[in-house]
Formats: sequence, structure tokens, C-alpha cells
Amino acid sequence: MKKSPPAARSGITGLLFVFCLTALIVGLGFDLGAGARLKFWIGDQPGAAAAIGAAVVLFVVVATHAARFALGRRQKADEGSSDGAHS
Amino acid sequence: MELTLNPGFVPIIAALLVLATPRTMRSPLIVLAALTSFWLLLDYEFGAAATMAQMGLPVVALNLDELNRIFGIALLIALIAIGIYSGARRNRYEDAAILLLAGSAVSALFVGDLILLVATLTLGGLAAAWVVFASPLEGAGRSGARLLIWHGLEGLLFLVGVAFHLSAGTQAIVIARLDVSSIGGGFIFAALMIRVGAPFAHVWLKDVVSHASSTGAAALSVFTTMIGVYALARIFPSEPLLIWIGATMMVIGAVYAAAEDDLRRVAAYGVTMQTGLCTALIGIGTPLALAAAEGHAFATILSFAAMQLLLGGVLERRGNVKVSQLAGAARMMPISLFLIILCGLAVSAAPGLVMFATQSASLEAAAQWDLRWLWTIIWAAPAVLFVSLLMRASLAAYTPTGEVKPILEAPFSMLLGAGLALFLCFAVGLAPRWLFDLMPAEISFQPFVLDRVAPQFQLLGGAGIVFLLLRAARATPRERGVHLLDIDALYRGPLAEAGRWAGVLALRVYGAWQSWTRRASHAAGRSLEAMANACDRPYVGSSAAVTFFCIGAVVLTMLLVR
Repeated sequence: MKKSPPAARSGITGLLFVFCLTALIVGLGFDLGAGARLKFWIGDQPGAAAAIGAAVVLFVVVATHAARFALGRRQKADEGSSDGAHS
Repeated sequence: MELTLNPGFVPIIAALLVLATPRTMRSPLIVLAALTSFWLLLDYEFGAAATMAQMGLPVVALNLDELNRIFGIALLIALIAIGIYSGARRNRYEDAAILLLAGSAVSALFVGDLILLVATLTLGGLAAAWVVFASPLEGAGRSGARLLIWHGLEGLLFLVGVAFHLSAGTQAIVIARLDVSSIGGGFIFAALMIRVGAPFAHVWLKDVVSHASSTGAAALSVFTTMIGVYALARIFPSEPLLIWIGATMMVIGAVYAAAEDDLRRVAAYGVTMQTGLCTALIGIGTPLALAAAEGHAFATILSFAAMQLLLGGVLERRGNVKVSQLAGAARMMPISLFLIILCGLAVSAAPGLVMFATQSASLEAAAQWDLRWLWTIIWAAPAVLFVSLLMRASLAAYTPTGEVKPILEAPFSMLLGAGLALFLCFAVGLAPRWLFDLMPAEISFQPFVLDRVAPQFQLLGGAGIVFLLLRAARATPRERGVHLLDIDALYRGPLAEAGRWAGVLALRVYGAWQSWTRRASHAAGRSLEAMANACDRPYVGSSAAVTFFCIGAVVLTMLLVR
């Protein structure tokens, strides 16, 4: 029995992962390395930006699920830029 | 009397000329009009030009200061990019409409009285609808008609507000700060809420952007809502209500940008988010907040113009820019997709790009204890756009499809126009002092300090990593063709249906009324006819005794009278 060939990959996921990881490490490194600073509230403390970024993605995922569940209407695959009643 | 030409009148005149210009000359004419307008803008000195009196009202066709200069520069740069971009297609009517839209927007910036402001905004509304009508996409006509209704409502509210305001005296017609609690100010405020796309009126922008052509969408993103931001900064600075309205716009924009499938709509909701940010900053009203709002409007114009232009190139070649149907696009259009990724960085306020500088200023302006919730929303906004416009788009576009398609890039002039806008995002982002020096308030603000750059890297990096991890765990929603209902579903669905039924009912009532009046008039006519006949032959139907009695009575009366 022949094995089906593995699906082709573009490597974009890996590139994006490296890019984001580098940004995160550089940002955290400089932020934590600079030491504690007096900021105007807890959300402005070192490292808080990464937590906000993670929280935003959770919000995006939940909001997308919720919006598509509550407000989404399926679109036919061959439908172009149609102007349906709810487009 | 010295007559001074408003820089916005140049594109309006060019809009008439472009209708009679051959195709090869139309794109250079648009660029030339923008450059001439730009030269006029930089040539004038600050202050109001000579005031003309028309029907007893002072008319100020030009009033230049730092506030409108920065908006004017941004709009004219965008017009140059759009002009270069438009060389790739043939639609003289759309070229004329875009010039008219740009000209009315720039004119609205520089006029000094409310009457001319209403006139230029209304002309802009008509031109925006013309841009949509000129689109070859399906449903553009109906979308343009809906835009006409929105702008008609806005113009009506504006006119009523100006009329109330004018009742205070003719000098009140000069543009100045207004009080939203006055009746005139309230109407003008409501009109501007439609213009900026405040909650419940936020739907018109995504509607028209998704139905406009590739060039028209960029023009509509740039020349419509940002005029509202300018007018708010001019007429209602430090209005606390704007903070709440702006924050709500940001949240609504974020939710829809995250969930939409069509990238042009995502970008339109992104514009709504950034317009909301500018609106909230105007509501804060400190000199730094107002300067940040103006700078952020500048950055939004450049970044989202570039984004819409690039997405328009993909639309031209593939027929749509839906994330669910984007697989293989990067193989077919490698340069466009690479530029879209750079543009995604621009709209997500990545360090080194123009929006990062203005985003940092915005955060600084909102850093107050009682506004920490707004500060958090402002900080979170770039992460939403990073995920929605960069991560989702690039992951979809670079997904291989297995089939080999030839490279079919967007036309060169399209890439050139979009590339110019993107280049300016980098150029101004790397040297933001140039932008800060244009602002009305003097800002000694340094965006490229470690305290600001490091958190932004963390924010985008953290958001990207978590998104990729969730995607690997299959927790992110699957990309599929989906239409999201928005508030317009109400007036295009149940309200439209109710209106249709009301129309049918009114027609039936009218028909019944017509039928009843017809029957009643026939009956009345018959009665009159019978009465006339009776008068014509009074003896018919009566007995001889009655006739004899009547004649006798008449003779007796005559004898008595004599």
C-alpha cells in the first residue's frame, strides 16, 4: 500500500513563530533588565505588555467564536462579492 | 478684495477636467492636482484669508493653521499614492469621483465657516456615493444608495444644527468650539457621529469599502471618517462624551476585525478602531492628547491607505480577498503578499513604523489613573490588528494548495502607489520628529526609548506566540466563508421588511380611499343629475291638482304684490 505524500508546507508558521519569539524575548529582556520603574498602574509594569498581548489573543479567539456563532451566516463557497440581505 | 484659493478646490476643478482626459493622462492629472494643492497648502501663511460677505453672512474660504495643515498633508499624500495606483485601470468616472471626494475633503479642512463646511461635507458625501456607484462589483449600486441615505441624514442634521446656531447671530457662523448641550451643537455633534462612524453608525464604512473597487476602497478609507475626526478636534475638543464613544468604537471594531472573513472589511473595521482612538483622545482634550489624535489620524491615513491599496491589488487578480479563499495567493502574488505583511506591521504599530510613534504618544496622553481602562484598550488595539490582518492573512496566503499557478502580480502602477504609501509609513516612523514638529502643540516626546519600544515588542511577540500555540492546538476558529450580521442587518432585514409591509398597507389604504371617493363622487353626481332633471321638468311626476295649486299660488302672490 502506498503512503500518501505529506502535505506541502510553506514554512510560514515557523517563520512567524521565530519572529514573534524573538520580539517577545527582546522585549521581555529589555523590559525586565531595565529594572523596576515607577509606572502609573499595574498594567504598566515590566512584563505586563506580554500578558496583555496574550490576553488580547484569548479575547480575539473567544470573540471570533462568539461572533460567528451569534452573528455568522454561512456563505456559499462559490459566492463572490455578493450583496445578500445581511452582507 | 483678495480672493484666496482653497487648496481643496484644485482637485475639484481637476475632477471636471479628468472626465475629458485620455486614459494615459488621467493618472498624471490626479498626481498633478495633488501636487498643486500641496504647493498651495505649503505656500500660504497661517491665518484666515479675506472674508467675503454673502447674503449678510461672513464666508471664509480659507483659514489655515497647524491643525488643518497636518490633516491636509496626510490627505494629499494619500491622493498622490492613489493617483499613481489608479493608472492601472480605466474608469474615468471613478477617477473624477475620487478627485471630487478628495477635493471636497481637503476643502472641508480649510474652510473657516460652518456654511461652507456643510457644503463641502455634503459634496464629499455625494462624491463618496459616486465612488461606490462607479465600482464594477456586484451590489455596489445598493451600497451606494445606502451611503447616500447615511450622508443625507448627516447633511440634514448638520444643516439643522447650523440653522439653530445661526439664530445666535451671523458671527456665530465662523467655526469655533461648540457646546454639545446646546441644541445647535447637539445636532452638529450627531452629524459628526455619523461621519466618524460612531456606534450604530459604524456600518456604512465597511459596507462601502467592501463594495467599492480596489482604488475606491482606499479613497473611501482615507477621505471620509478622518474629516470627521478633524471636525471633532476643531468643534468639540475636550468633550467627555467622546471618550466613551471612542472606546466603544474601538471595542466594536476589534470584535468584528477579529471575526470577519473579508480582509477589506477587516481593514475597514481597523479604521473604525483607529478613528475611535482619535475620538477618545479628542475627548480627553489635553494638548498632548489632541496632538496625539492628530498624529494618529495622520498615521491611520497613511497605513490604511497602503493596506487597502495592496488588498485592492489582490482583489484585481483573484476576485476577492477573503481569508478562507486566500490559500496559494503568496505563490501567485509574492510581492503583493510580502508588502501586505509589511503593511500588517504598519497597522499594528510595530516599532519603526509611523503608527508606533503616534500610538506611543496616545498611550502617554491616556496614562491617567481614572482612564486606565481606556489606556488598556489603546494598548491592546495593535495586538488585535496584528492577529487579524497580519497573522491570519499570512498564514492563509502562504498555505500551499498543491496546484501550480503562474505568477500574476498586481500591475506595476498599483504596486508603486501602494509602495509609496508604505515607504512613507517607514520614513515617518523612523524620523517621527518631522511629524511631531507639524503638530499644533509643541511635543517633546521621544517614542524610541526603551520604555516604549520594549513593551511594544512584548505585546506583538506575546500575541503572536499565543495565537500560533492556540492554532496548533486547533483552538482558533477555522477560516471559512461567513457573513457577520451587524447593526445594518436590522435596517436591511426586519426594518426593511417592516417598511415594505408599511408601504403595501399604505398603498392598500390609499387604494380603498380612492375607490370610496370614486363611488361617493359617482353617487353625488347621480343625485345632482336627478335634482337638475327635476328642476328642468318640475311638472313631471306630480299630479294635476298639485300643478294647478302651484300655478294658483304664483298668480295670487303676483296679485297681492301689485
